[in-house]
Amino acid sequence: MIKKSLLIVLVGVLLVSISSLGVFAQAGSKTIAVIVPPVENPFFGTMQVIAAAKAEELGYKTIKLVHDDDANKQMELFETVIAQGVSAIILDNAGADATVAAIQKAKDAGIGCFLVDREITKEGVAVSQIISNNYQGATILAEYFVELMAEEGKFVELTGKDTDTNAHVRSQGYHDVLDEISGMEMVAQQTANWSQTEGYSVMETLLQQHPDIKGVICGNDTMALGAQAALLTAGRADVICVGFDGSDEAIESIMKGELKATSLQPVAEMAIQAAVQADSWIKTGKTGKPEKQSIDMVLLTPENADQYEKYAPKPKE
Amino acid sequence: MEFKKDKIKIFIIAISIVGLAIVSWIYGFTVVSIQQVEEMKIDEKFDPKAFVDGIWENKLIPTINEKAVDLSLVLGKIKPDDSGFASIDSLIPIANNYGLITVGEAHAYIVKGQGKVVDVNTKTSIGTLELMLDGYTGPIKVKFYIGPRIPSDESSVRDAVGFINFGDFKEQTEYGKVALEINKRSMSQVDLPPDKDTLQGKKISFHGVFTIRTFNLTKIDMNEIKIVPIQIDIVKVTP
Repeated sequence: MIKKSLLIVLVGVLLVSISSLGVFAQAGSKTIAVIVPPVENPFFGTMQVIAAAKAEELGYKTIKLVHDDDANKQMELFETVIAQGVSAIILDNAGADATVAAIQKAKDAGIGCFLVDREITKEGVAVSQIISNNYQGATILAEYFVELMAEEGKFVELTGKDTDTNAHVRSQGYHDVLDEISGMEMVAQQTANWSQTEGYSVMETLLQQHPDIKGVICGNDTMALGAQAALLTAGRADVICVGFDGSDEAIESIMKGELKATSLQPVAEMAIQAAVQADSWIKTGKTGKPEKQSIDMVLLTPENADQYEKYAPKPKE
Repeated sequence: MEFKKDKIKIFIIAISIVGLAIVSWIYGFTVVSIQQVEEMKIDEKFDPKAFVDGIWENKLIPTINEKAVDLSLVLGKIKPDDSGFASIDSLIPIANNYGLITVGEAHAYIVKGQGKVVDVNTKTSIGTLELMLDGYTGPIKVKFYIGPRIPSDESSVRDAVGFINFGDFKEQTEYGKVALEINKRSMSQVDLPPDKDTLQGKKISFHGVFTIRTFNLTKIDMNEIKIVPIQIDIVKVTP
């Protein structure tokens, strides 16, 4: 109760100070910055393009920037766009804890931050956190993996970059399923740093050490595609390999009968929602949604994968 | 200047006191022991079991009992096409009337009813039974999870009760673990015979929860629904 009332007082004081700054009242064409991790990963590139396109469609200028998963660089970019007087920032952030300070800085300057994909550990700083529910995506994928393995056998796990929250969330989701089933035995767990080439080389080595594996569960599609290529080179098409993200490359592989499944990230929807909510907030000071919004992932298998492209359902013909 | 600063200070304190008074008046006071406060502080070690313990009897079960609608009524409104698919647009008004739609666009229903068990499947760790539901003759198959496991992505109960929100948790793993714990609890407290195959042919009454996911799906498969049971009772049939 005390917490609530303190919050009310704090919000009141904040509102007074913000309105005295008059930041809401800037005239002329407004700008929205879209800041994402390295766009070499099609996941982030697609998200940036879709968010910026939607913002432009809504009448904003856009600035597209990349923080390279470096929290210091992210802070510098924030300082730059704050100085440039942007109205809102759409961000796929560089660290759940490290990002809070940058977002607070923007908030203090009256700039709303709209997070997509990855969440931060603090509430009440960003306006919206439109989160891809990686945990749900991981559990739904792991359940399917278990089904394909008929609930038993040896498997290996390729994990993502250790500094990325989602690498841990996904692995946790996998294990909350896999560890419950006595017949499932993990013989190795190794990082391939989200990378396709590392996925290939790590898989090559693991296959030599554990030739009797029946499955490989990967933290993302690029590592899975690398691992799948290594399996095919070694003549081990029988090993069940699954990815995560729902990239077009993974979908193509699933439809060829190579990868067996992936979880589709709602990239397009998150990007569009971020732009729409930013627009609403700039115009009315509200988004009409709770700050934290969890968006579910969809399991893609040979049965439905061809209905999706560019991280969204294909438009109806 | 000093005087002015003091005035502002007094003003802020006064507002805080008034605010506090109003909030306590609206919500009432909660007396919390120092130990409880300490427990709250250690939220890095979020304990999903303790969370579920805290809501199960006094909040969750009453909500299920209060909000449950007849499953036959809900299913009667859903009209799948010949291949068992329904459009999202046709499902939204039904969810608005009889269930709820989550931020993630899932349709969650709290339901009750009774019927006859026509199939029991215990081949995998995710066992199910199929029910011929009284008062429903449509094409949608009605299945119940009977354990020992419930799929880990299943979050029907968490989502349907309406008072467990994503924003109340530090991050998605905690939110996900709450769903896992609720499912475990459902399985452990539903009163099923040790040999589940003996349920075959029995008449049961139930309270349970199910979800229809719609987000990013092109068409909705309504060939069957799978219900997380909260209560199952075997109905004695008098000859």
